[in-house]
Amino acid sequence: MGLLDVENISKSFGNTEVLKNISFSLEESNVLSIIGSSGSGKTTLLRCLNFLEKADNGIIKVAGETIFDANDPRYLKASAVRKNRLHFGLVFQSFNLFPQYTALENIMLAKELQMKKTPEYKADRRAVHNAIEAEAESLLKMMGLGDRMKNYPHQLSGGQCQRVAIARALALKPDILCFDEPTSALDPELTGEVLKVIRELAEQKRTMIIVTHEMAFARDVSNEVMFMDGGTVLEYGESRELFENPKQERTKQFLSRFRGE
Amino acid sequence: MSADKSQTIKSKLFNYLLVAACLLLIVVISVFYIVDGNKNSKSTAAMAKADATYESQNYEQAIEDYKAVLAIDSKKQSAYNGIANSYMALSEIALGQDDESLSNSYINKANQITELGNKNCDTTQFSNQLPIVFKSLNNGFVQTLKLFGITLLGALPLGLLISFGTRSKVKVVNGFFKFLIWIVRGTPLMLQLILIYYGPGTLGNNIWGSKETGRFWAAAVAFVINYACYFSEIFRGGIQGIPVGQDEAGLVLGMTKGEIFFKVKLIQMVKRIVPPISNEILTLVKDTSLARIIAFKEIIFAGYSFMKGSQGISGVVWPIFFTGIYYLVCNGLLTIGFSKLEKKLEYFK
Ligand SMILES: Nc1ncnc2c1ncn2[C@@H]1O[C@H](COP(=O)(O)OP(=O)(O)O)[C@@H](O)[C@H]1O
Ligand SMILES: [Mg+2]
Repeated sequence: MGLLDVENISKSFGNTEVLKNISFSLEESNVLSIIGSSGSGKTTLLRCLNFLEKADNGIIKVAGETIFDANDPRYLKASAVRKNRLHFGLVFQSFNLFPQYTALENIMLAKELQMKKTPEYKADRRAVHNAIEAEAESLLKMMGLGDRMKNYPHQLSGGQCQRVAIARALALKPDILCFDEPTSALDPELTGEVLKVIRELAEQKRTMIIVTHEMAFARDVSNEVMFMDGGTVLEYGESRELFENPKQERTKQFLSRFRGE
Repeated sequence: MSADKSQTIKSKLFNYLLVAACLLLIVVISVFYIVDGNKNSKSTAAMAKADATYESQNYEQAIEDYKAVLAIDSKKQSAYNGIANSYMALSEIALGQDDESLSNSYINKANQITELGNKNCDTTQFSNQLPIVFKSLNNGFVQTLKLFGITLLGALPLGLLISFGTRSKVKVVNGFFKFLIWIVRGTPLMLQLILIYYGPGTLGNNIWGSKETGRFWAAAVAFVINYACYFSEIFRGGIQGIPVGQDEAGLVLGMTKGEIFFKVKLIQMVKRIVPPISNEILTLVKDTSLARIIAFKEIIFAGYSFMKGSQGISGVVWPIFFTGIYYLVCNGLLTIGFSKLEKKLEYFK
């Protein structure tokens, strides 16, 4: 049993089966990279974990506790979904920052809304607000954006936006942080600053799942790698092992394209 | 760069001039309104007193009292008549005392004052038309603004409801609203006004009555429904134009649908819809004139009445041209307001 156990997740859009019985397990403090060609179902898998899509079948457990079971209506209620999805964070390819809020406000918004429903907030809203603000400031500093807190998203570069988005996800303290191609929308010279931040998170022993096309980065940063193909996990293994000694022919083909062979 | 700068200075200058012109007009109109109202109430009181004196047959004093009325309002025809009548009464009395020459001199005075009254109250003269027309146009414009205000108040929230209706997953609901929009946008507003005002009566139940308030509410209903449909399409575009990623980011952060709408999407929607909505609102100011088709007495109705004949003035065209100034002032101010709002929302993109 790991921190995360995914059992037999399936998902279809109409007649197309996009995920076919995906199962895997992830230990606490480990980093899993998901690679695979476009259309293989990587994004859909992350979206199922974050409940942006409802899997047709399967079970998701975090620390042994079931948080999703496609066949149990208790887990499908809006309130249950809202509570359980907070085990996960998701960083999007296109950042999806809220344009009308500053970097700092983007990070504080969800936490503040969450705290508003608690008795602590009613007792001393000033103190709660200040604590959230201090936390958000320290997250932005950690992302190297200490001088950008009051900037709006349109005043930031893509790399800076993505780092704000990462801080925003971290502010809710998810057990598992998911990234969907976090650098694909960035100019090549900006990918480095985002990858560096993710690397630092790995060093802090955060549990993460990263969908990426940056193979060198995936190999260095992750403990495990999953190669997806046509909605299935074709190969799963220890990072160095999978990159250096792929077992499956499809994996070899896929990796060779990135080595430029 | 410098061309840019001179451009903004020019447009700023234009804005200031426009505001100044509008404010000047508003001041002129309201000063006229106040002065005229004041004069009216004073002269009416003085007139009542003079009439009472005349009734008591104290004609010498009555003449003084009517002159006092004219000192307040030199265009009060009934005061000239009062003086003439008083002189005539005095001439009767003189005749009764066999003083024919005195009697004739009173008749002379009566004729003179009648002539003066006719001259001072001659409505073919522009200076005499001005206060009558101004008053009438002001009253018409108040009606125009009332219709405009009630339409905005009703159509903005109703439009939002209709836009939710057209996005409903229930087929009957969104079908109904789409059909309504199709009908309302596919037929002239004038026809809708006629239908709503005369329709119930034709069916044997005239719910509006024939008074001015009935016309107002019939016009208000027609305008609110019509504009709500146009607004709803703008709202729908505004909501649909927001990238789905905004919803998803909110959901992933554990926010509820309501929180996402109010805290994330609403202001983005407002920013998107301000330009098209302000266009619609400027059109609405002008469209209120359509309500004259059901004889609602808005400003164009008031202006046109002086062509047809009203308050002793007929065949006069300038009042209807003059109504244009009111629309220009109103829309000028709205335009400035909307561009201020757009500027305010420029802090994000
Ligand atoms: N909302 C959707 N409706 C229909 N088909 C979808 C939808 N989302 C994804 N798909 C399909 O599912 C497949 C997997 O997509 P995705 O998970 O985005 O792949 P990847 O992220 O690996 O590129 C693709 O064939 C895509 O066309
Ligand atoms: Mg994808």
